[in-house]
Amino acid sequence: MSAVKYETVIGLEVHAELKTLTKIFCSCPTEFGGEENTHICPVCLGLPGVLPVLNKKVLEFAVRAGLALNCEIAGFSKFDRKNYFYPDLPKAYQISQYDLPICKGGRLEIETNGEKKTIGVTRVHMEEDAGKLLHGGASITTSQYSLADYNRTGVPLIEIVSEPDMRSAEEARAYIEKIKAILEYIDVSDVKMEQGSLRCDANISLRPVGSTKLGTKTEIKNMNSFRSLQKAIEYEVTRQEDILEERGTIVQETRSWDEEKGVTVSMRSKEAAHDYRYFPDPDLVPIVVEPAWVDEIRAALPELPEARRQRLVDELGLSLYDAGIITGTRAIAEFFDRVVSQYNEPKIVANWIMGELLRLLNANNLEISDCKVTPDKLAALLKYQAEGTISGKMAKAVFDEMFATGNEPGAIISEKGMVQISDEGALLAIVGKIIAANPQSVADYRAGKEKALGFMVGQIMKETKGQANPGAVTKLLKEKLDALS
Amino acid sequence: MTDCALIMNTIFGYDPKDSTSAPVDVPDFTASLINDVKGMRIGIPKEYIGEGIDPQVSAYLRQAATKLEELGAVCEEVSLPHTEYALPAYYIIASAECSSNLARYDGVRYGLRVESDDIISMFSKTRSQGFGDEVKRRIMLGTYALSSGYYDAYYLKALKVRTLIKKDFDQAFEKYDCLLTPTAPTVAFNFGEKTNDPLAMYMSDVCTIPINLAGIPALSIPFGMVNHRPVGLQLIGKAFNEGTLLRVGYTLEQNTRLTRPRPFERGELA
Repeated sequence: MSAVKYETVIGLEVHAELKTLTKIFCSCPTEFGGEENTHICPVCLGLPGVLPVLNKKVLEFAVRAGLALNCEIAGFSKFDRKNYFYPDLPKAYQISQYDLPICKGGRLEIETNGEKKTIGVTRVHMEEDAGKLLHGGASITTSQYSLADYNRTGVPLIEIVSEPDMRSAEEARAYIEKIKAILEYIDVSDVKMEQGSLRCDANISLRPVGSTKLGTKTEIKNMNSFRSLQKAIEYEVTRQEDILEERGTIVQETRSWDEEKGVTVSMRSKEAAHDYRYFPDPDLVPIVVEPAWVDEIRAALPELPEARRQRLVDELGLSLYDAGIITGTRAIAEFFDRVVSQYNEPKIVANWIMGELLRLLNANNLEISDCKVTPDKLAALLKYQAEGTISGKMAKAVFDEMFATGNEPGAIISEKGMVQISDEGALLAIVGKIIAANPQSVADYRAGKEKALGFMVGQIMKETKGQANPGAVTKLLKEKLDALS
Repeated sequence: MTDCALIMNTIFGYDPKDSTSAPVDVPDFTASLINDVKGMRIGIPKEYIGEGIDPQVSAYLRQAATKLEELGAVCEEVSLPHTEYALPAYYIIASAECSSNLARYDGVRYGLRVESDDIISMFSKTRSQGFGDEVKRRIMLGTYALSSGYYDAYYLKALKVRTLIKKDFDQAFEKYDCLLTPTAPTVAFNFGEKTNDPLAMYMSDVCTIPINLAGIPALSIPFGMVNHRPVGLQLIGKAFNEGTLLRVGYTLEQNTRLTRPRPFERGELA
């Protein structure tokens, strides 16, 4: 048995597709999907004689991301070629940034189990995406043929490289969730891991607790969700621990996460690693960024998640936890703001969003943008409840209906005849009827058995098919019973 | 020279689809067709008339200089001290770019494909059969120069040499309006004569390559005949100063018949 305790060291490389309208070096659309090889032109196909021209919007989005991640923006940077042969790469080189990236030296704050921690952002750089291959068999080496789709070729990407500052899978997950939230807030990426607009590789190593020297690392690829990122890191940490426990050595290599088997498998060793032969792309000129333009972009940055969260706590009185969930994505935060602007009860609105809305979204695997319940409709529903038109229980039933159909709450309420009976005259008649029909309960109540009251309220609710206002019923019933004595 | 000016008027200008193209206004080049070089200062780089240059070529160059002086220009010897490093620097930079530029001919999308059992051998067979010797030589040279561990010693060093070469020209242009050199060190050799000697082939570019490295304009004009073949002289100018070159070229054209050799008409070609 070894007594050595190990510390996990994790660094992440995150790729995000930028949601510019056109590609990074040509005018083809960046739109996801589309019939194969329809979003292509001679430039992104790398035909002989064509030249790239940088899309200025890509530079603007990269600068915006850099500023949101507290980076310095380089006044002078350049594009380099990363050379390698693969059928999804038409020019056989990827235009990327090597030693002079557009953004450097940033940081971002994460929170795990209530503890805050700062993670360094080494750099953010721009590059072009590659195409997609559809293999006839399981992989390129075992297929009779592979088909190439170049629609994605030349879609702009930013790569965000972290310092090796994370110490657990939870921290890594908190980091990528934070990156996702920030990129969504500043509106530069769709950040959908499942669609591949957000991708992540993890560098993982272990070292004895107290050591400051980094251990040998492995790079893990092919993690397609936050959950698989966390699971892959947990698996890899255990794998490395087991090797070190048995006094083995970690091989520096790239490993792939196998989601089905729940393991990482070796892809290629350091010896087999590519020599990318980076060199400055002679077809492009260096990028010179004026400080005034950077200031303009900085001034136009929207409120970031952290600031928005604090505002909900300070100004609207939400708990830090609730504010964290509401501001988790920009879409939810905006939805919340719009409901509150029409129905100014922030805590009630927050509870409805966190309870009902997010529950149904998760259960149906939907994004808030796909949701049929608009902020206007939710505000209207909450007003019906506040006015006493419907009970809380009814409101939830109406909400389920709204979520399924997208209908107006008012229409659902009248269609189902769900209007609550609060009118004293109408209620008194029913109360009298129930008292007459239940002499034993009346006797029990008068003997001091409070339970009997509840039974009679239940009978009234049954009689009115749940439409009676329970508060009003209880009050009237008590008055009547007490008057009998 | 008039033809040249007309063509320049047509093809010059900013190309928004070429990032390396300069957004500079195009003058009317025919306005530079002036038969007058009085007071112009013309430098003759000594590195371009010494060792390795055919004496018959240098003789014509001296003849051109004498003519220009007769017409009122001042011709002086000047030094571009880094000239000897231009050729090696060029063949590293150009080969490196070439290795990357030609990588797209991989048999996947267009052109020759030599079918094979797997993707890697399809790539290598296609490229082995599709390219000729000189192209392969440059791809290998360029791949080597960019390889991890060699980049600093070759490619980066060559880029630094390139900067020195450009500085040589910048300094010369502080004193001179343009420079006069041979276009090639020898007159044209026979077809196929040196193809088995790549180094000799590379050497024939020695006078023109520094211009490409420095990114400046040059004009080549025919000037006299040796062994029934035309000799070329080169005028080199500052960036965006093509007009000066046209003016000097035009003046030579107007004042000597040496700029109009017509070997084909006379049937003198061997």
